[in-house]
Amino acid sequence: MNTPCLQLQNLTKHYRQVVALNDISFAVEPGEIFGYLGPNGAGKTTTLRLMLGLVQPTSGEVHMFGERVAPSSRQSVTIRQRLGFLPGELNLYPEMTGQALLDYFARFRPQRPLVWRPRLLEAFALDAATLQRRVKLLSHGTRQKIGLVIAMQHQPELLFLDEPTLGLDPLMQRAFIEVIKELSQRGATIFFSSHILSEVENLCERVAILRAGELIALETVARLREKMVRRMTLRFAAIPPDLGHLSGVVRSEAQGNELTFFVRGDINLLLKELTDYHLERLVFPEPELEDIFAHYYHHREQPAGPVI
Amino acid sequence: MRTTIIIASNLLARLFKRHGLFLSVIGLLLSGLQILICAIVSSVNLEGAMREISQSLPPFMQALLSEEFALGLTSRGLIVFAWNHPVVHAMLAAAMILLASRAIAGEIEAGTMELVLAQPFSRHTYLTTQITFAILILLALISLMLVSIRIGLSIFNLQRVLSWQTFLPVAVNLLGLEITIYGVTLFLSSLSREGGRVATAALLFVLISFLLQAVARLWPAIQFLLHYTIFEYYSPQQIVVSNGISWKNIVILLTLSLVASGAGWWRFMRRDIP
Repeated sequence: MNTPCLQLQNLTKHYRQVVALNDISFAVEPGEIFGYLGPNGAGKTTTLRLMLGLVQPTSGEVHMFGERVAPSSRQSVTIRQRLGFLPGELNLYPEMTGQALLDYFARFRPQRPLVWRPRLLEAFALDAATLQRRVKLLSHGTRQKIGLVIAMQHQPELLFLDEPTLGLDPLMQRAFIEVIKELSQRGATIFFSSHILSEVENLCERVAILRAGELIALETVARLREKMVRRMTLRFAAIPPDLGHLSGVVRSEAQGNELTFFVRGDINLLLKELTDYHLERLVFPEPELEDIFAHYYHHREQPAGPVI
Repeated sequence: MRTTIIIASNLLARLFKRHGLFLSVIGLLLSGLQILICAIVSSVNLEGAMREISQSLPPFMQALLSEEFALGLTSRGLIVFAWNHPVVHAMLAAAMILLASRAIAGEIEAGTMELVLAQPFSRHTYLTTQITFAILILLALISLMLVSIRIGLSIFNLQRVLSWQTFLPVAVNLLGLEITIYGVTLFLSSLSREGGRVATAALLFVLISFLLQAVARLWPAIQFLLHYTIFEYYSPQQIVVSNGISWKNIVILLTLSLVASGAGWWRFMRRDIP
């Protein structure tokens, strides 16, 4: 069995009376793209800071590549050679140019060649003219792209990304997904924190779900999809019939001409069954994190809840 | 080891680029002031001028000049005052406060500390580089003052009045004073997330210390407070009069500086970022 690339053991962080993170344990395997999902304020950034040694844990341990991470220890410094990091609230030196920033951060890892920088610059459409401009003159999206290049230019073995698509336009989000997949194919492990479910769903193999400092689920994305209850709204020309018996419908709520389904699992059969009815409109939005939380909270109250 | 040197050089180069302009201006002003004072000394009737100046000043300023009076309102007295001038203190303190407040609290306030400390070097390396930079800058500024006073004395033919070597022990004393200001500010910086607040607190510390010294000299009832002001341990006039440095003052200043920066170091190593 492989040594986990990243392992958290009973990690807890208190800020005086506030419990920011409570007894978090999980492991990330080498080469995995791991999603860390939770609403704003759930404790995702605190977890990342604990892993990077920026914040001291109240109790618990973090291990990377089999070594314990202790802030400022020689081992931690060696481990950080192999890491890449994009903070959630990225701030760069405003008076420096993009190019100077890339070079500045690259010089902290003199033994790691920047073979991947050209590929990243091309993927994120960062040309020489843009890089010659001072950071304070760049848009938020361009700064975020520079932050991504800083995090990945040395081809890290373990990459931490905190809300990486913040400020990226849809085209760049697609480029980002391609880059992450490519990095993963090259053997890197990626720890990816987000509050957007679809983003994590598209990229990750496994996810941990965090809420109010508690880990409420640790699942594969496939299993999460199976469990996920999604909302579907149908509009009919007249008062709709009772369709609560259709495939996959967990619950239905009628309001005037509209019917809201709460659906679990594969929707293909349901869509086939719906062709027998005359619909005016069908809305099937991206699932909300809250819907997932509701599911897990419901199950946790029961004795045989999901294994966390 | 080689990697640590490369990383430290990278951090130092960035600090030079970031603060270079401001510190160059401070250096030029300090340098200009030395030459200007030499020019004034060579061109005025000093004894008369000093008496007139002192009578026109408020009592606390007269108290500050009292040690110049100890030198008998001479040209020597006024030249030495160039190293105890409020403007000199203001500029050097500004440089030290700026560097120390930005080293920790300022970097956190700017939001860049998280990314910087996630790089492969320890907090020890980070802080050692910051302190090394401050000491190098201080040495450069004081050396510039020494060179300027030497040039001033030479241009205005004042070498017969005072040799530039007299300022060497004064420079050591001034170094001790400014390192203390840096150490105290670094300690405050290690406790805070706001560089501006740290700079204000440090500025108040320097100002209160400076004024307290003046008031305590005027008011015998509070003279015991003199020992609690850092400026009491910096006395260029005494060095010139006694022709020697007070090692006791140097030890007190260095101890203060070590305790303050040591406490700041300890706090920074353990604090959460941000």
